Amino acid sequence: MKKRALKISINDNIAVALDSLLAGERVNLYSIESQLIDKLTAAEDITYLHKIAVQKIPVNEAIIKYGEVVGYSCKNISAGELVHTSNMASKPQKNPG
Amino acid sequence: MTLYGYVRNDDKVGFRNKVLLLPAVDCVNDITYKIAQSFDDVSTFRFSTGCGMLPDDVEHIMHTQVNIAANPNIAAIVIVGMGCESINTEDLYERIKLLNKPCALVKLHSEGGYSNYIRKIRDLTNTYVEDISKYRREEVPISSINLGLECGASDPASGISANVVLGKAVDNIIDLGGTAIFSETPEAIGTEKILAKRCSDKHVADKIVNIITGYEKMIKTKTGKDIRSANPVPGNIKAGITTLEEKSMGCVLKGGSTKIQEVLNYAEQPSKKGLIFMNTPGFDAYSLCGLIAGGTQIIVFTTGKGTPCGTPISPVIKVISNTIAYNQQKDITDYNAGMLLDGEKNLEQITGELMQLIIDTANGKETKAELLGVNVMDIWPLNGTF
Repeated sequence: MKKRALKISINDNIAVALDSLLAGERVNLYSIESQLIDKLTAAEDITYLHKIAVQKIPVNEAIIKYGEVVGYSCKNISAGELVHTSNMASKPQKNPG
Repeated sequence: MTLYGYVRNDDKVGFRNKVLLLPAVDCVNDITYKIAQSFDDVSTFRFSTGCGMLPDDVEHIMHTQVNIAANPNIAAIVIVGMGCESINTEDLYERIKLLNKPCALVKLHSEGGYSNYIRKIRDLTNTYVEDISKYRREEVPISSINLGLECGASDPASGISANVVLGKAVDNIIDLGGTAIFSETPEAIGTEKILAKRCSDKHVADKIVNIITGYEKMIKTKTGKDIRSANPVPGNIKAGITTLEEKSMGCVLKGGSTKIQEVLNYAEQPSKKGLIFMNTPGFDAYSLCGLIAGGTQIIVFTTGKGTPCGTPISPVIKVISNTIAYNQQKDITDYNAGMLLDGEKNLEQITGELMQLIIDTANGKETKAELLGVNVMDIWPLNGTF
């Protein structure tokens, strides 16, 4: 069965992995209404319930989950990458690296 | 979905029909507990204060006690006191009488001895149980529901299954004219700006921001620690939660998407319908008690790992976030929202099933916590006892 990720709100730029993903695996992206809305490729290994970028997110851009801002990117993030403590923080960075 | 409840003298609707043995002080806990256990439909709770308290705390506790007695699931009240406690039991009795429910006060020091005291409490309880057993349910609208919302022993799936489903069910109930109260202020820290945008007007928005920021300051004053540096905890991060805002959003999600109509202090009763926020701690016994004093007849409790939590006054429906935990915790869990993540059922089906479970529970279906007799409830004191 194809691996799955859940995009909770239509405005989100991340999804939550509903299966543990391996780098290079194809992932079906579902809406909260269980509709298949897109497909993407995991750029790295992503653990169950961790976040995967569903689009390119430039540095210091809002991370949207539940349709709300829950943090900011502190690096440029590509679609399919893990979004977690290495590239996301509560506040925008003053000197983005 | 037809709903049947007990319409009280104040037109509020109860979905349980119980006598409350209301402890005025912790010294009587064993007495009220043992007597309550010997009857069906008699409630009490372990009350940890009531004496050695400052005047503002006494007033706060009495206000909460009156509102617990006012919960529509309660049909009659026996106040059980000593006669020497900080709580003024005569004043408490006068205030509870105004609720227009059968009520009585029994004090150890006024009954000429312990055995007389026990006999009097038992006899009164027995009389009230017989009296209220004559009350009958009648058809009531969905708008009579005041649903309490709670979460505990959460996991990262809580924020994407159980709380999403509960949020949808809450939206449904509010669309039909009902009320829902969410609480647990410390778990809303980090979402104050998001919640302020969702308030019905500026006054409500200012109040929610003040309560949440005030709570954050209170933690800092008492502990010297910044809660934002301690949260999310390492376990949350390992599980995939990155920021406090993300963690808190997953929690407040259970309130659904409608506007917040009113913000209440602890144990206050709402004056409006719709979505309501109440200031309570995250500690379940205190927050559940606040919701009950706020008049919630049914509580839905979302969890990730499972919890036995229940209250003696309002049935607590436990909704778990994932199937692995559900299979382990079936004995204490009423519904598995993890089916959403398994792809077994869609959001609409699961929301419909949870709605039906809320209605069935209101109509008398016993929750797992009721079947097990779980009793988690206590009044949050301002300063405690000295």
